[in-house]
Amino acid sequence: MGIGTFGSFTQARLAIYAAQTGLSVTGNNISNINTPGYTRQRLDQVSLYAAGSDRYYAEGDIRTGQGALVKSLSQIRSPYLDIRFRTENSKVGYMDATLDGLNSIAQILDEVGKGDASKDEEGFGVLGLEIEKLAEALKNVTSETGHQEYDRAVKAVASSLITKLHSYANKLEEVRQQTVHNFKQDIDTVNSLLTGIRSLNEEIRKSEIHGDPALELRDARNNKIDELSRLIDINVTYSEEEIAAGLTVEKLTITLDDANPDASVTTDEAILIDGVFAAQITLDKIPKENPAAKYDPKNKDTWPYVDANGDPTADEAQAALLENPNWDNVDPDSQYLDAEGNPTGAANAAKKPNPAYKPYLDEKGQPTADLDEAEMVDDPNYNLTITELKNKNGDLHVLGKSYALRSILGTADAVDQDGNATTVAALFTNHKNKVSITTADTPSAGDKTITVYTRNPVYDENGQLKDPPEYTYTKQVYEQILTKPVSLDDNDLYGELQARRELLTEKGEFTDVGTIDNVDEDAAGKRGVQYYQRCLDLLARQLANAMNEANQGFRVDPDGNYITTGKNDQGKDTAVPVEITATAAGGGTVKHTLNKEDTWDKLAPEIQAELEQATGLTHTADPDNFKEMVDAYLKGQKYDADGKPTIAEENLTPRGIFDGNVLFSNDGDTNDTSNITALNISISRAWKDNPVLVRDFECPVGETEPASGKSGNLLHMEYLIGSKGWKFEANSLESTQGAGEGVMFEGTLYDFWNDIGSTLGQDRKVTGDMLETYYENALSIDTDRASVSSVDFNDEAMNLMMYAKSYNAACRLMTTIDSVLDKLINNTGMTT
Amino acid sequence: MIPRMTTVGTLKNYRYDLNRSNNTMSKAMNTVMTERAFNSYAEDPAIATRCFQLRRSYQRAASQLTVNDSLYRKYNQAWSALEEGSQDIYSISNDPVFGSLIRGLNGADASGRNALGQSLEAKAKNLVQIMNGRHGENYVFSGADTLNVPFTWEPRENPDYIDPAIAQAKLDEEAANPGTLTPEEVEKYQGAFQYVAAGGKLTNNVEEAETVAKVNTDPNIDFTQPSAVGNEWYLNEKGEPVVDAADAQLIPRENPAYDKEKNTAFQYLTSNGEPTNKASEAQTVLCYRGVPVDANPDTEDGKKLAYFLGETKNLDVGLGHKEKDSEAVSSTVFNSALQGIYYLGGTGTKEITVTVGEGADAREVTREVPNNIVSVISRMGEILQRCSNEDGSFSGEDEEEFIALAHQFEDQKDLYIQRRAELDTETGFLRDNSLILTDTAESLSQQFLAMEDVDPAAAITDYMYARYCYDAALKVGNSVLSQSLMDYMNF
Repeated sequence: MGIGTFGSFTQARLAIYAAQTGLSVTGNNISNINTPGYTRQRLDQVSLYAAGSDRYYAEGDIRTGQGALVKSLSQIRSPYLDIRFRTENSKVGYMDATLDGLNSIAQILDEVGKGDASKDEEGFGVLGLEIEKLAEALKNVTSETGHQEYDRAVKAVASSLITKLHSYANKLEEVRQQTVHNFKQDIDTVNSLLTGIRSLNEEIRKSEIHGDPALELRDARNNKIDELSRLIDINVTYSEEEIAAGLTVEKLTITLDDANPDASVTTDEAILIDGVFAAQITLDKIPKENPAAKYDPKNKDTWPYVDANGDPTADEAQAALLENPNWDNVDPDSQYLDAEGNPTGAANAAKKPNPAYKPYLDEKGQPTADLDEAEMVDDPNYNLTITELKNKNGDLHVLGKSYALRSILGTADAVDQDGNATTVAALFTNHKNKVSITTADTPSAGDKTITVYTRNPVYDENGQLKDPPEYTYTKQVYEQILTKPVSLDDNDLYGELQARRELLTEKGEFTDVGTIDNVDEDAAGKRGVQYYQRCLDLLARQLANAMNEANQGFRVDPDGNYITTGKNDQGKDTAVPVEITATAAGGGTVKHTLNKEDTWDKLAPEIQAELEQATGLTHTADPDNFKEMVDAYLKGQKYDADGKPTIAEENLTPRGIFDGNVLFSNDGDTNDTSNITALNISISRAWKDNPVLVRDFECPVGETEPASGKSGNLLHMEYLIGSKGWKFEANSLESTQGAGEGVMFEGTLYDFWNDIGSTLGQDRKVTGDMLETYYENALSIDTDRASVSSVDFNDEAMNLMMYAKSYNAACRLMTTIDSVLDKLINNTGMTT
Repeated sequence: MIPRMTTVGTLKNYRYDLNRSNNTMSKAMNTVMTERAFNSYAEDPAIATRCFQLRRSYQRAASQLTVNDSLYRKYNQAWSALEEGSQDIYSISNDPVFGSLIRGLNGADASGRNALGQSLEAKAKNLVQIMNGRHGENYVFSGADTLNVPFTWEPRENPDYIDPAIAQAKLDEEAANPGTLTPEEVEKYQGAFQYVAAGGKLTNNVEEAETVAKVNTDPNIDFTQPSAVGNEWYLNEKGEPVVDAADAQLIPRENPAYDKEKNTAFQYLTSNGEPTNKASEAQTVLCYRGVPVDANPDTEDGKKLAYFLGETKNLDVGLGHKEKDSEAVSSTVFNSALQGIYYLGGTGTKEITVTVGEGADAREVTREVPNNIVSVISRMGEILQRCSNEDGSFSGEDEEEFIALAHQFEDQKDLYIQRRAELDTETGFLRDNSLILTDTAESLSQQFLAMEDVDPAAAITDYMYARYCYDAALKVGNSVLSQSLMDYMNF
């Protein structure tokens, strides 16, 4: 269509408008050059062209455009670069948080270059040096045996070593607490971001409905998504959502990005955001455990069930079933109660609980068996759950899923709305050709399955319904799946949040075998705070146990025979060997002098029987069993069938001469050596009060005391500390008893300590290197993104010039048109 | 396509690069300040681990050196003590009176024997005093019993003495549980009592003893025939034979099981071997850690002495300390127990045969003499002091014993010198070991310092270069945004 006489004015006007808008967009771009996440905007112009034919034929039908039309504003972004950046960003987040945690640990455990410069110990480390100082103190006391100042020096060094262990263990605990705090803060941040993205989705959706592209809101959303991608590895997709006939709006969906290497796991693709619905991440809680209720074969209060006689039992197979007190004595399916307290049959019945068994603690620290009363604490594995997707009103999201339409015979089986079995044809009871059957709680609780059957009449060649009528049938299934919480697996996440979680939970070689087999096969190579805490505990435990064992025993003569005090004919005290006397099988007596080299097999059967009878202990294949029996015999102790001592310590009549005492305990006020850790290891009460270091167990001939300067045992202890024979077993601590068997490290105590530092150093180095790589990658991708999306002065200067010139030209156009029209109107063909 | 370098992108890159440059400079500065090539395991885990290993070895060597040097001083002191003792021993050999005694008896110096005896006693005491010397708070020659004085002079105990309380307890136990003791043991413990009291009770108290008529010990008396004149069974207080028991002297009833030869009721023996219960009357003998040094090896005391000679007090002085079955392997440790008895010639006694007299009077005699040189000297001193004040002649068999002792003295003197040389060798070993340990420590120190310490020139050069780069980066920053097309626009 040709342009009208004054159409050119419109052309000029549109050009001015377009140039002005262009200047405005350029101005906005320049203004936001420093706005984080701002995406440069572009004015989308099109040439206005009015299609159609002129009413009358015109000679020279030349059609021209009618000017420039400002169509829209758009952002210049690359979704591909966004995906790449966010993937890399989660790696940066993971490595950064891991390195942050490892650095915190290294500040405590990395002793390179440390040491007291004032004592010329710079570079010798701190805790490692204390271990060596203990050996050195023992060396001194070996040389200067019997002088109490040297004994005290050993105690002082041991005390200093303990102080360092306490300090390190406390600081590690602080790091753990701080990591817990950071972890929870990250969860809050994730939840806040998810809520924020949901709100932005709503705003963008509203704007889109009203025709506004909401570019600034998208920038804000992209910022939040970028931030979220650092915390969690996510997958972002955009789709079109139909909100009314022919009207669609963009829908943003964010899911976890399939981080779990186990392909069978699907929880690692859980949905976090689906349009205006968002989930939250929550930290699982468990009831607080009552440590006193931990299973003890000797304490019936720790046995969870009772058997048919009402006696406590720990064997689930022996446990009686929980009876229904309201049973009608008829229906076997309601004779018992299940775990939820509902009547059930024997197959699903819960076990009858032991009323004395109270596995939880309430808020006041009182034992309880009631889960509702128990105090809920953080799950020690810091397991996370993604909650249901909800919109801002708290409505649950329902995901629709439809299956393909398929033909079905009228005689096929079907279920009517009441759940009765019928056929497809029988479902059509009236004139309607469509029947919907809704099945609740299918495929799972809270869901709905809607099956739509359609009846299609069959017509004859005349287009008439057959008589009798014939039909074909189709069936289509729709599922309305209600959003549900998703319990995340150990490896479902990646990013900063997962790094914090791994810092809290990963135990390296101390990991349970079950976890390695079933959850994460790489778990043994991942080391968090707990790994280093357990390493310190193991170091403290091994040291304490070895020193305590070495410092206790029974005195022997030079031939290795255990001795006791007797008198010689001159009336003087003398050492006499400890003998076991038994009645021989054929009458008479059999005697055996107990020697430290004895083994069970070296004893005559009568002596073996006497040893068992005297101690109450039964011989087993356990290598420590014979030593226990000999110790019990020499102590004069006898044990009952449950393995409990029958004679109080103060009433014992020893057969041998016991010497020594424990050096380390779990509490400075006692000599209790159970469960020693780096945090509780202490100088024992006995050692605090008196010098208890045993110089030697071997006494000279006839003597019941070792020579005053004899120091074989001190030399042995010194040797122990420097010995390469220490075997550190991952499952030797109470807290790690599920870990794999075998030795995780073999060497000296000092080597183990050095290895802890070295392992930490390796982890830090690898993590640091990877962080640098990932960071550079992320930076490179971000630069690429910036090259697409960010504002550049040169570009905008060009735009400014371009739009300014356009504006000027449009104005010139208008002046020109005005001028020519003026000529046409006022100065053409009229002569006066 | 050339990438579009935007203002924002350029700024991001610049910030990262500037931070990196600053970080590099900070690390270089840290290296210069600490003078260390690395300051954490993470910087070089393998080298850091190796350095700690070397430092530990260095500490070990240093502490071994401390012990070794302390030991060396002890051994030096021990050697000095033996050297001082050897002066005493040589002075005895060089004594003219002793020389004359060795060469032949009844010489001109016989009158000086008493004085020599006193001198020998004094030298014996002096030797003991020397051997009881201390290094710091520890006795040098007491083996592993370093807190207790090694040598003492104690009353000579009767080895056959049986404590009556012990004997009575054993007999009571046997009475309560027959069969506890063997018949020999019953006889032994009954033999601990001299007398029989009323009721058959055994006692050593003469007051408690039952009295009986003293029996005539004339071998011609026939106790199968009745007591009569010519066959009187008893003796009266004057020692005259009497027929009636009523006229006889009343004496305490003796325990027939009592062994008069062993004198089991007496705790001590005098220098003449007489039994006594008074410590002051007993002969004083040299004891090592409470055990008479001359004790027979078969006795309980002898076994103790044998143990002392083999006793060890092991120390780690860098010989590769190892254990087998929780016991130190002897070749990997140093036994620091100096047993005084070993250096004084050992324990127990030995039989020695010497020729006594001259010419036709010459005869060979065998005597049991102590192995310990102090006992030998002391015994010689005792004998010489028993010599006549007037002519110096020996009494009884002292002469023969003295000659045997003098020969033993000469033998043990040589042994003493030989063992002093052994100690000298051990001292030399400790001295050499000290040098080795010093070298080891020095070498280890050099090794870890070579790895840890930074080359100052390289460190400063690195720092200067990092600084230069950082300064350049700052300059770049100053101009990175200085110009754009915007600055040249002119409407």
